[in-house]
Amino acid sequence: MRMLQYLSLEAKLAIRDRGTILTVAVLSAILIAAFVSGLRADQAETEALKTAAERVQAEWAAQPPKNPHMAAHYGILVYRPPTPLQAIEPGILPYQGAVTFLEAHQRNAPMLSPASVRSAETRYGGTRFSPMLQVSGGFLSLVLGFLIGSREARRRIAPLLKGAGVKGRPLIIAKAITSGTLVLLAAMPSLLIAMFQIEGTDALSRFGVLSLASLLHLFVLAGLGVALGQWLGSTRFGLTAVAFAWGMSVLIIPRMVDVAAEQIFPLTQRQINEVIAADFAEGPDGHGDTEANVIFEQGLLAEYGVERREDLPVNFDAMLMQADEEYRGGVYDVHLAEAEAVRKRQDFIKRISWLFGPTPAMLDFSVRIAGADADTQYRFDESAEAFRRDLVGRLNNHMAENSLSGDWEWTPEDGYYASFSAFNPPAPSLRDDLSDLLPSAAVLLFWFMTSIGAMVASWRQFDKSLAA
Amino acid sequence: MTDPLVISDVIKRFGHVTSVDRISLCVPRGAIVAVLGPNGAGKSTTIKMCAGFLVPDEGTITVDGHDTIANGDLTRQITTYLPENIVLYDELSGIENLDHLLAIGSGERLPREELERALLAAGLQKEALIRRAGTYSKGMRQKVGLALALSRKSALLLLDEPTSGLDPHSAADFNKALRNTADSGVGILMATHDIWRAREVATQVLVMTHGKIVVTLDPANLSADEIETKFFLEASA
Repeated sequence: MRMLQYLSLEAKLAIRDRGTILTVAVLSAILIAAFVSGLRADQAETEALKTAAERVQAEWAAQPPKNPHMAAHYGILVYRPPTPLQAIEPGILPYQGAVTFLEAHQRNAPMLSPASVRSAETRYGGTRFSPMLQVSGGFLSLVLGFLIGSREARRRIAPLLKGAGVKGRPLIIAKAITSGTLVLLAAMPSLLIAMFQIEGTDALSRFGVLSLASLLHLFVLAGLGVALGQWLGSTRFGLTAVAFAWGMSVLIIPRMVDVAAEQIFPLTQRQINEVIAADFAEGPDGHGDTEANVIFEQGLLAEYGVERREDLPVNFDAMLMQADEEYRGGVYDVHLAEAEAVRKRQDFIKRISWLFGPTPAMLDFSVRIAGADADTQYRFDESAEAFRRDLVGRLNNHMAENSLSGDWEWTPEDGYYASFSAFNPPAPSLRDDLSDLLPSAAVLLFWFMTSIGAMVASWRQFDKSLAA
Repeated sequence: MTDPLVISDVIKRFGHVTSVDRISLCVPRGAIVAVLGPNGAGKSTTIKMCAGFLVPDEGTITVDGHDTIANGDLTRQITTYLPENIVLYDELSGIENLDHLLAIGSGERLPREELERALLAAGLQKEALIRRAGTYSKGMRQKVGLALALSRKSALLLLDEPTSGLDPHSAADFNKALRNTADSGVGILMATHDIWRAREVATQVLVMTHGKIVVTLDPANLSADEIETKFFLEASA
């Protein structure tokens, strides 16, 4: 029952404090504006991409009579399907793009950003709802918690409270609950609006998990703010020190750790391109003249038991094109897998920044639950590449089986290109993504426990401070 | 009936410095005991030990018969400590401050009439009851503190320099309210520099220096000059 009295006091003080009310109102307005503007932008963007994808597919199906390998060079654009929560969490999408051009001989994977700038994509995540909630909301939670936690120390009310029999434990708990509730009140309107705007079971499930994690993150910061307010509230630069620490943990340290990750595991797009180009020179080249071409031709002639290209029952040129494709596909697989392994190692190092504050881990959690992270993008690229290999392979093989060597004028039957299905990658499911969420979720729980520990330490300090 | 405060042979050291050096005193019900002394004499340390904020190295302190160490929670419930400079929640009125401080400190909710009565008894003017405490003078805040002590039904009230910074009129007002509080059966121990006010209100004056009580006086029988010259200044020298 006594706790209710503490809560009643804290609630009354919060309601009568203009600064607190203004902070809650500003945060609430920012979040609503971020959600509404994000939703509108996303709806327009999604509609545009859908229209473009349909047009591209129609153009592919209706292309004029054309040699299949020419069609492979003509290529096709594939569009990444909308991610479940891209209206509120675009993650790396604005930096990676939603379109990949698929063509013969070439894997047009997105350029790999250097580690030192990669997390900036999520660190400064634009003005969409979730980054705003985590970054701006997180900062305001910390400040609000600090101001509420430091009230008695700043105003020197603490001696009277202690003299009147007030204990630190219920006081600090009441402050943490009040701070958390204020943040919840600020976030609730936009969360409710979002809940009714987001469609689909998967998206709603993800939104539910993201909301819970976000609230945990904000409560953690509010709790830390209360504890820090208790410790530093009577000092002159307490709030400045807390704001500086937040800036370090959210802006500076992640950047420093990224640079360190790049130094420890160096990797550049140029390096990848160079080794890939070097390996290409060793294999068959459908449009060139290499030693590997000669070996391939000898092997093919032997396989069919003939001595001249013209005697082959298949189109040698198309077979060479396909050999080129398969060789290059292997080269891409080896080197991009190596690059991916380096990226994973860099990302592991980058998690060090999660130990300096809960927000970097929360930002990672947010982009992953929204399916807007680098790993999901990698899986999309893999799907697009599988589609490209299937498409080009079918074109080359059709040409090989139905035309003769040297006949570049041959064209397939009418309606052939319309027989290809549109690109339709498997949608990521929440269940599949859960394992990717575990590291950041574990770190958030660690910060929750740290916040509780800090509050326990602060109420002990409150009880002891007058004795000093 | 036990006395609100009994201090027996109490010693408190901070490192090599003995702040309180084997003092003993008693505050009966209705008594106002003033402890006079220069800075560093050990007055505030004594008050804080009585409030349970500091633990004596030797000796015992009992509040209403209960040891402050063995029964710390209980003695803190029946003791009210008012610091030198009482600060209230500016956003709340005097009556709201009292209501909430009582509720969180003692778990007690009093009817509004009782809260008003306590504040008026402590000397707060009626028009100030519902005014925000941010507009209060220091004297008014001290009165809310006194009302808190009255409402908590404390056995012991501990005051640390209660009249410092008050103008003569407010100090006289405060002393009157303090006298009323003592008359309700509360024992009061106050540390002060203010010889004149102590003589007006106290039933007993103790002069303390270098951690020891050097003189015990009946203020009614001595002039302030005598206190100052014969005992206080000589003692501090």
